[in-house]
Amino acid sequence: MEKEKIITSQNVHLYYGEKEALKGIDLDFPKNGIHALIGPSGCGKSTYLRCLNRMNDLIDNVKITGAIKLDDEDIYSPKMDTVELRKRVGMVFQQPNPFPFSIYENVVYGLRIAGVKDKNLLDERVETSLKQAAVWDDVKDDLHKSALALSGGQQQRVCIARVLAVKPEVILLDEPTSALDPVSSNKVEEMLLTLKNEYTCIIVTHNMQQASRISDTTSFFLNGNLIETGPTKQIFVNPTKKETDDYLSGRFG
Amino acid sequence: MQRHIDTQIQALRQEFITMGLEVKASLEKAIQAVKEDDQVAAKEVIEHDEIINGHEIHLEKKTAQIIALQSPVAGDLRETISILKASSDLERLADHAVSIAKSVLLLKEEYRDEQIDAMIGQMGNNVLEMLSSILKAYTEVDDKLAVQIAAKDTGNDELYLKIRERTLSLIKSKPKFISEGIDYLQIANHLERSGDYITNIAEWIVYTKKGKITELGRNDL
Repeated sequence: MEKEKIITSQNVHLYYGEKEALKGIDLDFPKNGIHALIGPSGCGKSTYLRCLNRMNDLIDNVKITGAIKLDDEDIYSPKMDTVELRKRVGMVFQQPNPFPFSIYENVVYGLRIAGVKDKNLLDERVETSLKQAAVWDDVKDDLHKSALALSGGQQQRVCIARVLAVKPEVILLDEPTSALDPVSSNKVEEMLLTLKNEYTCIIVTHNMQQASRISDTTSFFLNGNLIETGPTKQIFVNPTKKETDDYLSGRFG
Repeated sequence: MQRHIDTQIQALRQEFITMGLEVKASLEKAIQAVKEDDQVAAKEVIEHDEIINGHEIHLEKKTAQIIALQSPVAGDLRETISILKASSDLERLADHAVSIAKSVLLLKEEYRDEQIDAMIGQMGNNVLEMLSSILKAYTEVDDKLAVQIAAKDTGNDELYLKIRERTLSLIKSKPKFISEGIDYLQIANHLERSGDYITNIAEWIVYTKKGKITELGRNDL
């Protein structure tokens, strides 16, 4: 049975000035689960990821054509409110980027912007989000201490809690564990596995083992093209394209 | 670009072929021993089995190491798994050679039957030919050849049925033949099983090349 699609993209081209960074990407994501985007540096996977919540809008001289839809709504339509979009499609970056406030204020940041003032609701959301992000036990006694005092792995999980607090539908993760040690990376991976039943996680990773361990589907990008996409167990055991086999086996990249 | 894993998989391939040639030599010697009632050769086959088992154990260790340390994926993964699986098929083939050799030690010269000997000889040749070709198909990762080789197994199954028929009728007419009859049937049965293990190896060649787990020539008795 065909699973319900949450994001669809058709013929997405992206130009940085003259340079064509994405050369017509057709890629759909089923609702929920973990979807990995892999490929060598400069292949366009992060650029594509940033298209999904219009992060590329912030860069000058970028032109995007084609259609990206979230639940059948064109996210590049003039009617689309980017604040609302980014609430529905949250993002976690490579470097943990907590704001220089307390852990509590970091997590409720999005809710405060949205005008939520109910203290009980804020408290409840802080606890739930930090628990979902598997960092509650680490920080529950220090919620009003600065988030900057936490370790890198804890900071990253607080940043994930900050995304979860606004109840997004999709979470974009751009190499979320590449700055973390193996133990912290493992915690983030375990956490993503618990989130995948309720959220659609799209993760860019250079760590092939990470992609194969946790993702349900994998898409391989090369030179701005989508070479192959499919169930992770098929891509890693029996890819249909030679380029995919060569990249996964470390023959280039 | 030469990768570290390339040299390791290359070493696996070489050991697999060495093992294959050793198994072929054992089976050849066992079949020859049946033809010539050569007890010395039969004992050699039995003794040689330890070396073949050693190859299998070594290949198992090496493939486990490659999987743990090199994390092979895609084509590398399929080849590694195929070697692991096909090496145990080779080891089973060698066990059948040993069993045939043991039957040679039991068969008594005076009760031999020319017709059965001829059919067993034919079956033996067919199995040896399949084994030589499968090692070639393995080296060249030739899945088409592998499928052709597997198809030849039908010949063994037919011969087995003929041997069985002839043996049973001899036992009925000459009750003294019963012990030899059983030995003959066992030899034929081991050869028939050998054909099945070669077919398994053919399936692993197809898997390495195409990534498809197939069942080739399933006409087991």
